[in-house]
Amino acid sequence: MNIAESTINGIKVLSLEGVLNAASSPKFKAYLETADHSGPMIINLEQVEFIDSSGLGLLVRLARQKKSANEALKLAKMNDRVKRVFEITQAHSLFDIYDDIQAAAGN
Amino acid sequence: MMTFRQLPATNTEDHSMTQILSATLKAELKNSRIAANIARSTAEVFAEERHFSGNVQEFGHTFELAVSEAFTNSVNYRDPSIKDITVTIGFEEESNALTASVTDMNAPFNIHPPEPEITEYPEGGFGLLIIWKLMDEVSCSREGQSNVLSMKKFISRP
Amino acid sequence: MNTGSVQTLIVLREEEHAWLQDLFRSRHPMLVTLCNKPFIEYLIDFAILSGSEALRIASDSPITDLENYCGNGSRWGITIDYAHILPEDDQERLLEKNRQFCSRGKTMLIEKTLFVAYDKKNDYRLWLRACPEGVAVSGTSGSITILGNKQENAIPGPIPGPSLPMLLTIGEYYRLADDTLKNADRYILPGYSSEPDCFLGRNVVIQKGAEIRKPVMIGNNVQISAGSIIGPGAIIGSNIIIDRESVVSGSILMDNTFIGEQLEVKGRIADGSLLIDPESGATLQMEDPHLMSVIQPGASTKQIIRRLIHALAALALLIVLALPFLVLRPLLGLRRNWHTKKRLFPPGATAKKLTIEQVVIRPEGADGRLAIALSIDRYPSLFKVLGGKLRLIGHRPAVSSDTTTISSGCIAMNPAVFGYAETEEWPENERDELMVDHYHLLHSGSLNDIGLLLKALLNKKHM
Repeated sequence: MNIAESTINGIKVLSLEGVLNAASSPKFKAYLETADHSGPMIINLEQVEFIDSSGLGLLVRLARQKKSANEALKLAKMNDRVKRVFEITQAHSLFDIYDDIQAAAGN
Repeated sequence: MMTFRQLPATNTEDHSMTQILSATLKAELKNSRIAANIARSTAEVFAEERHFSGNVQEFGHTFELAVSEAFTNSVNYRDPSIKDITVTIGFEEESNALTASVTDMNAPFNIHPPEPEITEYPEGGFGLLIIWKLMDEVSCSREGQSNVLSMKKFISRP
Repeated sequence: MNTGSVQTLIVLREEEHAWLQDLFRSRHPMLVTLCNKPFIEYLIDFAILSGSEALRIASDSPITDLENYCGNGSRWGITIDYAHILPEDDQERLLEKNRQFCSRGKTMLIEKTLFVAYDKKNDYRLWLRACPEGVAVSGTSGSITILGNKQENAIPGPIPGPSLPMLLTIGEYYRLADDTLKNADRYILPGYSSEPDCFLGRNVVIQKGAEIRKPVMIGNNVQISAGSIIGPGAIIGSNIIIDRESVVSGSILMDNTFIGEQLEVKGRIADGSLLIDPESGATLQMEDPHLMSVIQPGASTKQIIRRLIHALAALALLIVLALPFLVLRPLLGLRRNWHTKKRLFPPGATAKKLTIEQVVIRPEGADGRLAIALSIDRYPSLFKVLGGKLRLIGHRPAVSSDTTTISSGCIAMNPAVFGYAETEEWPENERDELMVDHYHLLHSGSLNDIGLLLKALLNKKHM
């Protein structure tokens, strides 16, 4: 899995690419824990080809952290395969989901 | 480490099930992707062969996801004191359904865990929930020292 | 940014249409039918009539059944996709969340709306083109908002737009259904129609002596027995049996409803075992599923004669099929295409259990197909008919399932080798089959059974 970081409108955008499963999510977890990731954040899921419960668990954990810090976490450009995992677990009810990164950044 | 076996058609007494593939993988998390990919390809080929009227890719994704979850569970609950422990994934076909099974050597487990309460932002407990939501029939049997988790999905109701 | 394309964004919130959800719990409000057509299809129709190429359904609650029904829209020739919003999202926020979708051109935003009253003869593309940005239609039951600038080549002058009728109570639903049926020429309605106020679905059997009065709409797979009077103002859904001498007028029967004999349904809405008075909103839950009456199994002389006839017919079949069985059985065994499945009947019962063994043959190879065509899979069971353990034709439990949640008088009868449901083409699931089995158990006599048996032999689903 690859993580690319960029900034739009002063908001951090993490673009995830590849597989987000039990084998790869520790990498994402470590990435989130090592650097300072405070402030609003957008996660671009367009290039995520597969996500399972481990990847979902991490995103839910991040959502909880952002919520308790009263900071926004937005998901953008969810593809159908990712969307399905959010739907069957009802996890979509925890996130603001955008079909456009610029709109998520408030541009 | 991985072994494949193409199995001859077998018949159990009361089912018209045919085992079509069995793969034994070392119980390591990195192999969950292999297990999931095998499951996806198997399911897609199965659905195409049966001229499945629904979405073939979605049917493949169902098995990819369910087997990924089951395999990950098997690895996470393995006995860490034993080296070279394996998990076997198998597929059985019927005229209108495909069953994936994941066999491990772990202690028995509860396939009906409480559902995570989503409003509480749970980080785990989604694995079996996903399997239950995706599949039409889920069962777990104890065979000797092994758990066999069977997950069945119909392509059409008989 | 504005490429001239048109798209429709439908917003669904769980809190809306709660009254409909309360009444018809088994389905999403958008899948409740009006004149045998789910509400969502009226919105899709209107989206298409106004020139939309894409349609998105944004919902704040799970809509799995709606997604399964609409799919990707290829059925209607429009691209349908789905998005999630949160209950607290206001219009501005939900438009932001769907910005990419909306940025393709002019967007028609349909909110809080179950139903759009359109006229298929109007060109709503012109109407939409002339509409300025902002709220175009608004009412207590929803609104249509236009986003994206008015196009320059718009034709001035009033072009009648659609209307959003009041739809907040079951009484309004009832009147709207009646009104829709009376103005059927404005809508695209399901069924065959040779006259403006009469619609007939597929596989409708109207027995001699039954009377149909217009305006009327009848869905698919409907059986109307002798002496019944249907209409005026009857909207009959699909998979429905109306038994002898019943009257249905000014009423709506939702799908999968069974109306027992000599019942009078006037000014009512029936949905399965639920009966609703649209004016007061009062509901009555019938104890018996499908408004059915219970069959009393007994050992009357008639029953004994019926059993004897079943045994004789079974004997005849045993003799006729003996040779094919003796040839095909070893062949199927060799090819491992003979599987038996033992199960207990009735399922879940504790006392008086009967073990039945059903054979499954896959329709593979000439032998497999021939065996199925000749009903060789039923051959071993025929012996049990001789002993009176099984009926020859009656209620046949489905091979596929080990449990059944449907309770009915059928269960009280011995299971059968051939199912009444196999005489018909339509039963698609166990519930439908049970309905057919139940109907014939009530009405079939000994001689009728033989006729139905022949029909079953010929019609039996070839798997």
